[in-house]
Amino acid sequence: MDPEAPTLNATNGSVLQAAIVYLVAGLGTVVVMGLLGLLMRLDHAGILVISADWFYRIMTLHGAGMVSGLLFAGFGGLAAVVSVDVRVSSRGLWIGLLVFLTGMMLVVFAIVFGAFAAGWTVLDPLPYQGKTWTVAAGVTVYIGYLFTGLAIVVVCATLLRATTAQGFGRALAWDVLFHPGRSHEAEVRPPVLIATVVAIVGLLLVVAGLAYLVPLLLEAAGAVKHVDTLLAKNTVFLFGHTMANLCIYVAAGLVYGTLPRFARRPWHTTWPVALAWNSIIFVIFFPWSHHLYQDFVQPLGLQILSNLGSFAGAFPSFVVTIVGALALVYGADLDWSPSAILMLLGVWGWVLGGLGAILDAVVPINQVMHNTMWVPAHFHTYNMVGVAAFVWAYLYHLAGELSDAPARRASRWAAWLYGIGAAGTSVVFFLEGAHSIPRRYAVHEADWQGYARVAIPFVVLMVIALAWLGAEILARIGRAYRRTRLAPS
Amino acid sequence: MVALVTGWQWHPLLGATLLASGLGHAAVWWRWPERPRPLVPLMAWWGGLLAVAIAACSRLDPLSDARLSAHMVQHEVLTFAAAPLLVVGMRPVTLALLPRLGSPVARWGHALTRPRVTWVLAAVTLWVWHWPAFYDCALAHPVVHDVEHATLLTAYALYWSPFVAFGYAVAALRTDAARTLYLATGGTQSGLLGALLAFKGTAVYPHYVGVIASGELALRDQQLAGLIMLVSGAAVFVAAAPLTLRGK
Repeated sequence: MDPEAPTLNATNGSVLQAAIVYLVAGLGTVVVMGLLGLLMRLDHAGILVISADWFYRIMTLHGAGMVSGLLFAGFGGLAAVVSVDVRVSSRGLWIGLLVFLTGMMLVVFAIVFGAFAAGWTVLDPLPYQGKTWTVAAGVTVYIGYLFTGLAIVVVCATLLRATTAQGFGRALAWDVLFHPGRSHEAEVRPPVLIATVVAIVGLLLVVAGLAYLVPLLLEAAGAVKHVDTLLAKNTVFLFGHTMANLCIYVAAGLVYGTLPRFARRPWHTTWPVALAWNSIIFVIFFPWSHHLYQDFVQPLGLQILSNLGSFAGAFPSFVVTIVGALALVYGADLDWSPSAILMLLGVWGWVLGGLGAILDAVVPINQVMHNTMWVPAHFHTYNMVGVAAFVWAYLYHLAGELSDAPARRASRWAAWLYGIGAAGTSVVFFLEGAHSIPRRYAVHEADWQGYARVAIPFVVLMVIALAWLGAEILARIGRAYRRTRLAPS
Repeated sequence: MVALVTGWQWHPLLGATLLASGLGHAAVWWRWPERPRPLVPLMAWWGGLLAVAIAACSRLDPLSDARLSAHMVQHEVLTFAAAPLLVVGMRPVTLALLPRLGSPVARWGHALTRPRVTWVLAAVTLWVWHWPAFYDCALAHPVVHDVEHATLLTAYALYWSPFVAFGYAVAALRTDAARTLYLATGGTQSGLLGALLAFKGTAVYPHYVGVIASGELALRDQQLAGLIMLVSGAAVFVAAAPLTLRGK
């Protein structure tokens, strides 16, 4: 397929409408949660005093909102990208959005009005044993997560139905994978393969979510006496860690779909691409238990599996996507638009955040580093410099393309500012981790506050960059949305 | 549970009204111009009447004087079961009667069923009746209590009406974006009220504190009532999505 084929065609106007709403709602959530993150850093710097009660509420909201906001914005973008090749049901996307918003409403209400502050990971038995919140708040969060899981099911089923309409094996590029020597003229484009993979993973991870949530809801109802805490910790990390991990793979679909436009070269579904993405269906489910290295009752086999699985998970990303992206742009007459800059910055965010995660997955390092700011460092690099950059880049590109407004040259500065701000914020987190400053502390001692003070100007840079890009997107998005309504369908 | 099914108290006036309404609707439905006659409107109307009967005549009614959580279930049955079912069942009535009523009625019907109007009417009705002074007043005076339930039922019947294309008089929500926004914001406003009740640290309705004779138990009952409103409302709005979103 021509890498510069238009996104809007005769059949996908309604899908693009839903996609725009996903992207705007998801990234709007990310902005609000980012401002909450700034509040927490101001507290760490000793500039602002937030009570411990409110700090942990903000931390819970920040984590839950960021992961789900990025995931759903990414899903919307991916639906738009694949709608060029396959027929996606806009109805499924709207239903998924409504279910997702309902889940988020429950979580937000439990935190804001119910004082729930057990962290977005909702580790059992903390949600039912709060001193500042009631069991009702814990139950509401769990039910909110249940709705969020249902929303993932709806969106993933919608994507999977679309991509597998011409066969499951074709959607997973099995012909390319198992017959590498043959000519594959009718190969699926990588975004379709990626959408299939992330949809399968999404559906499977919800099973883990149900395995966590249903027994705990039954416990609250009195139908189950006691839930095994170690099992609950495993299932919640299998669900939550995999969901957070899934964000980057969803966002990678946007890179595969859009970077070829900027490079003016197609990105083919080659044998390594097919192998890498098929393997992600399995390897994404191994790394969760590196969050349980310090749980001595955890079976040794799972600890070893997690260590090896975390390494294995890196190969498909590093060897195929990142090297592939760099090879695609190497020597190309690249259009250095703000979107292209953000996407290439995102690739580095993925590399560096991933390296931080791999280090944390090594048992001896984990024993020293896991409860320090090293962990927020790795996932902020991964999500802020990686996932968020990809998704912002795609929305900026889509709004520009659909509204026929060319990217402004000056806006490249905003993309670079974002990169500097996000990278600076992450580096400071890494430095804090390297100096053993603990994570999840509401109050930082005077000796630690200097790091957060250095980080704040970088966060402000990000705010400026996003305000700049956001203003441009908002100026174009209305016209872009109207254009999708005018398209024949 | 068995007592809930068996211990019904029929109010003669309400019983007669429900029966007359059901038979009248069946008569109008029988004259439906197309063959075969669609069963959905008939079943929905009778289902809606049954829901009203459950709310008003079953053991839920006396129980709602003693427990806020039971009263909340009663309100949920009226607003989230009876109201949408009656709206779906209204189609033969609107098709048969509205053309005869003339343009002023149609204009009023159109104005009253605009989504912005129905949304505000439902929200205002819900919040006003749950204000402690009004709520306790309704519990103290049976007539006010009946008015409370009738207005909740009417306001939510209007709320659900923009989803049903009657083909006459009723303004419809035309796009999935509009339908999603309408459902999401409708669910959020009722959910907010539920959250405020579920997470409030004190019992807000003096009537129940008096009846239960324990502030702590009344508070637990209030938390349960808030959760019922928050979660069952969320479930209803989510369940409404596949029925109302059409993919256009």
